[in-house]
Amino acid sequence: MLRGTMALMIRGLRFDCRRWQMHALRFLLVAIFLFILVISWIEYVISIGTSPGLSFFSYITYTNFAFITLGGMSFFTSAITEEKEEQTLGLLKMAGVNPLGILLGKLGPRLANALLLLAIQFPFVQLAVTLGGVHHRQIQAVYVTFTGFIFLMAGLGLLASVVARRTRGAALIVSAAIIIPLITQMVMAIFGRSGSSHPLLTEAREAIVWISIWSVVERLSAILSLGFDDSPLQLQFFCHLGGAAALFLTSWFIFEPCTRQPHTAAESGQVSRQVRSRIRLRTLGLAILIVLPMAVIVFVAYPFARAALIGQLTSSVPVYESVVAVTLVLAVGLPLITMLVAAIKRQSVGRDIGECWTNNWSLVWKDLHFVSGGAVGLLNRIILYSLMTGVIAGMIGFFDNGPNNPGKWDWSFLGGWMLGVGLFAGTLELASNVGRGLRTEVQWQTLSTLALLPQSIRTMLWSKLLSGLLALIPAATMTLIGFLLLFGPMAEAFVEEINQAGSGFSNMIGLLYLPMIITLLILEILLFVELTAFFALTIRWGYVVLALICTYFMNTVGGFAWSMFMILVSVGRLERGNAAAEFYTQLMILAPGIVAIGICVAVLIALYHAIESRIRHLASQS
Amino acid sequence: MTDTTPDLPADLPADEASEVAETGYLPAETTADPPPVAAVAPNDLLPSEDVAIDIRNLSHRFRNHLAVDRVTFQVTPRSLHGFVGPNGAGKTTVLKLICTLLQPQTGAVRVHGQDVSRDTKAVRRLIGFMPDHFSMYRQMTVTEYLDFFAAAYGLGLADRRRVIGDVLALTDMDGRRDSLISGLSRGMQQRVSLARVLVNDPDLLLLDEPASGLDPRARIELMEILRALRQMGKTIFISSHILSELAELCDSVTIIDRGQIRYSGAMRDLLEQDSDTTAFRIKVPGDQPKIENALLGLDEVAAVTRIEDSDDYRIECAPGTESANRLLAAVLELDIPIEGFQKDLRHLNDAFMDLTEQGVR
Repeated sequence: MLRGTMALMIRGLRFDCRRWQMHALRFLLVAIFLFILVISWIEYVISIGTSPGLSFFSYITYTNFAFITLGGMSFFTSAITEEKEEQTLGLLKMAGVNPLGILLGKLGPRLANALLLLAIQFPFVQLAVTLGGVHHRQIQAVYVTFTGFIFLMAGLGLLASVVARRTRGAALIVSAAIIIPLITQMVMAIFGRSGSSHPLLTEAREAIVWISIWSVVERLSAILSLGFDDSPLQLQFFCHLGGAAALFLTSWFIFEPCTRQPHTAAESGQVSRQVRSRIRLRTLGLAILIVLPMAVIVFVAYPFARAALIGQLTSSVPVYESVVAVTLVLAVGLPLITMLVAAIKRQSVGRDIGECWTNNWSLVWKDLHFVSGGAVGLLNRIILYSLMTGVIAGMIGFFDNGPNNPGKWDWSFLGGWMLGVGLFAGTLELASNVGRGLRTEVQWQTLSTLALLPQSIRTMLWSKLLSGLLALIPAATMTLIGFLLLFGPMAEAFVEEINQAGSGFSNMIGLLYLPMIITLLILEILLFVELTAFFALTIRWGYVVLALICTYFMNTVGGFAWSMFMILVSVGRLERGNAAAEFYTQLMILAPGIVAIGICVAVLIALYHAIESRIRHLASQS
Repeated sequence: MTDTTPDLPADLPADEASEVAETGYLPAETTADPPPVAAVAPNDLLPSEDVAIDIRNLSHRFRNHLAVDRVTFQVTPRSLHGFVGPNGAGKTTVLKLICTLLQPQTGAVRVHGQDVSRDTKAVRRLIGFMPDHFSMYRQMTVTEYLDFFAAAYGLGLADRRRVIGDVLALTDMDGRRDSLISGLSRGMQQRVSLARVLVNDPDLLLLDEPASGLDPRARIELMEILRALRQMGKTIFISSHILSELAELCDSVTIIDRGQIRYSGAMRDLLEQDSDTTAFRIKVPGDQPKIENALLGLDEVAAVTRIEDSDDYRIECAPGTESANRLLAAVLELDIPIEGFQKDLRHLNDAFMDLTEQGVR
C-alpha cells in the first residue's frame, strides 16, 4: 500500500511543481501580502489605523480565510474526481493501490501544498509584532486555527470528491456545506438584531450555538480582539481535526460503492434515462403560462381561503403568507404541470431534426441545452429561486414583522433581499455557465471542429455569453422583481438628493455617483465573467474560484486607491462656498471613478482578445 | 529518477508532441538532414485550379522546431489520396494547415484554387475535417449532434432532414439515431464523426487516422464507406498508419518524413518504382524444384527465388506482357498445377521503409 501511496504522492507533487498555475497562485499570494503591507503603512501614515501591526495582521488573516475557503471549494474537491473524469481510477485500482492508498496519495500532495503555503507565511507575519499591536500568541492562535480549518476543508473536499462524479458537483457540495451554515448564521444575526422576541427565534438562536463552536470567523474575531491571551489550542481546532478525521474515514468507507464503474448508456439501453427525461422549451413555456395565472389567483384568494379555513379576519392575514403561498405554487406546481403537459403532448424520445436553431443561433442552442441544462435546468432554477424567495419572505414576515404585526410588512425590504440574492447568484451562474461552456469544449476536444464552422471565434464567444444569459432568466426575474419592489423608495431617495443638491452645476455632478457606481458594477460583473472564461481555457478546475479571487483582489486595490484619493482630496480641504472650488472638489472625487471605468474597459478589451487568441491556439492543438 | 523528456515547443500539435515525448527523441532541426528527395518536380505541377489540394514550398515552424520543411505536392480531384509518414513526421501539421486551423508561415496552400490564408471562409465551406480524436458532444443524441452541425452550416429545415437522413443511411447509423453518443462503440462514434463531416456536403474530406483504434470489421466497413464516397465524386485525403489498407484503397500517396516529402504520386508508380525488372509470383502446391530450372532457362528471366514459409516462387524478368505469357507457358509445360499467378508488386510497407529513416526526430 505504502509504495502505491508514495508513487501517487510523488506524482502529485511533481505535477504541481511543473504547473505554472501553482506558481502563479503563490506569486499572487505574495503580491497580496505586499499590498497589505503597503495599505497598513499608508493607513498608519495618514493616521487612520492606530496599530499598523494589528491592521496588517488582520488583513492577512482574513485574506488567508478567504483563500482557504475558496481553495477548499476547488483545490481539494478534484482529488478523486479528476481520476474519475480521466477514467484512470480503475487503472489505479488494477495497479493494486487500495482505497486508503488512493485517498492518502491523492489528498497528501494537496494537503502538503496548502500547509506549506500557510507555513511559509509564519516567519513573514512576525513583522506584525514588530509593527506593534499584535502578540506572538495571537499569531500562533490564528495559524493553529487555520491548520485545523485546512484539515476540515481537505476532509470535506475529499468526501465530496468521492461522492460526486465530476469536480463541479464536488465543488457544489463543498460550497453548500460552507455557505449554508454561514448564511444561516448571518441571517439569524440579522434577524436577531431586529429585537424580535419571537419564541421560535430564541429557540433557533440556541439551536445554532454549535455552529459558532465550529465557526472560524468567530474564532478569528476573538483572537484579533484586544487582550487575547488564550491558549492557541481551543475547542474549534480539535473539532475541526475530529471532523476532518470523521470525513476521511467516511470517504474511505464509501469509496468502493461510490467509485464502481458506472454502467454505460449502451449497457442501460439504447436510449438512456437522460434522454427520456429531457423536456422541450415549449413544454416548459406552456406550463409557465398555465402556472402564472394560478399564482396570481393564489395571491389574491389566499386571505379569503385562509379566513374560510381558520376563521381569521381577512384584513389580519399577513402579506408574507400570501408571498410564500405563491412561491410554493411555483416551486411545486410548475414541475407537476410541466410533467402533465409533457405527458399530454406525448413528446418523442430525443429531439427531432430541425429543433436546433439555425446559423449563429445554433451555438446558443447547443450551450443552452447541453451546458446550462436546457428546459430542465431552467425548471430547476425556477424552483430554486422561488424557494429562496419564499424562505426570505417567510423569515422577514415571521421574525421581523411577525403574525401580530401584519401591517408592518415592507415590500422594499423583500425587494432588497431579492435584488441582492438574484444579482449575486445570477453573476455566479453566468460566469459558471460561460466558463463551463468553454471548459467542456477543451475537455472534449471540440474546439477544432467548432473553429472550422462558418461562424467566427468571436461569434462563438458571444453565443456562449448569450446562452448563459438565457439560462439566467429565473435569476434575472428575481432580480427584476426585487428592483421593482425597491424602485419606489429608490426613486424617492434620488429625487430627494436632487432637491438637496440645489441648482448648482457642481452639486449636480454629485448625482453622477449612482450611475457611475452602477456602471462600475456592471463592468465588474463582465470582468468576472471574462476572467472565468479565460481561466476556464487555462486551468482544469477552480477557474470560477480563481476568477473570484482575482476580481476580489482588483476590487480591493481599486477600492483602496479610490478611498486614498478621496482622503487626499478631503485633506486638501478646498474652500467650501466658492463655486469653482466645490466644482473641482466634486470633479476630483469623480475622477478615480472615471479612471476605474477606463481601466475596467481596457482590461475587458485586453481579456477579450486574450480569450480569442487562446481559443485559436487550443483549436489548432486539439 | 530524472525526467528525460525533451522540452518541446508549446504550440506543437499534441499528438506529435506526445509521440516525441513517448520515445524520448530530441527534436532535431531538419535543415541538418540531407536535402529532400525531389518528390515532385516543379514542372510536373498542374495549375492550382485543376487540383483539389495544391501545396507549394510549404514550411511551418513551432518555435525552434521545423515541423514542415519546403513541402510541395498536389492532390487531384475525385481521388483517394493517402498521406503516410512515421510518428512526428508532420502529417497532422500539414492537415491542420490545409484545413485552416494553422496559418502557413511560408509557402502556399490552395484548396480548389482558394488560398487557405486569404479565402479561409471559402476553404472551410469546401472541406470536411475529421481529426484523429473523437471531437464530439457526448451527451447529445446522434440526431441532435448532426442537426446542430447542419444548422450551424445554415441548412434549412427540409435540407437538414434530407441530408441527415442521407448521411445516416450512408454510414449505416439510421438505427441508432436516438442513441446518446456516449453510449456508442468506438466504431459507431467514428461513423457519426464521418457523418458530421458530410453534413455540409464538402468536396474535400480530410481524414486524420480515421481507422485508428477500430476493430477489423469496423475498419473494413469504414473503407467501404470511403470507396462509396469516392464514387460519389468526393476527394479524400486520408492520413493513416495502416499501410496495407491504404495500398488497396488509394489512387495516389504522399510519404512524409521529418517534415519533408519523400514521395508524392500514383500508388502504382511507387509500388513499381526502383526496378528495371518486372516481378511475378506463382503459387504451386508444395516444393517444385524443377520450376526453378525450367524458368531460369528462359532468356528474360533474371532470377527465381522460393519465398520462405510458402509455396510461392518469385520470378524477376524483363518488363513486358510477353514475359508473363512465356512464363505461364513454360510452367504449364511442366504439368504442375498452378494455384495462383500474379504480378508481384512491392508492398507499401517496403516502399515506406525504404523512403523513411529510422527513429523519430
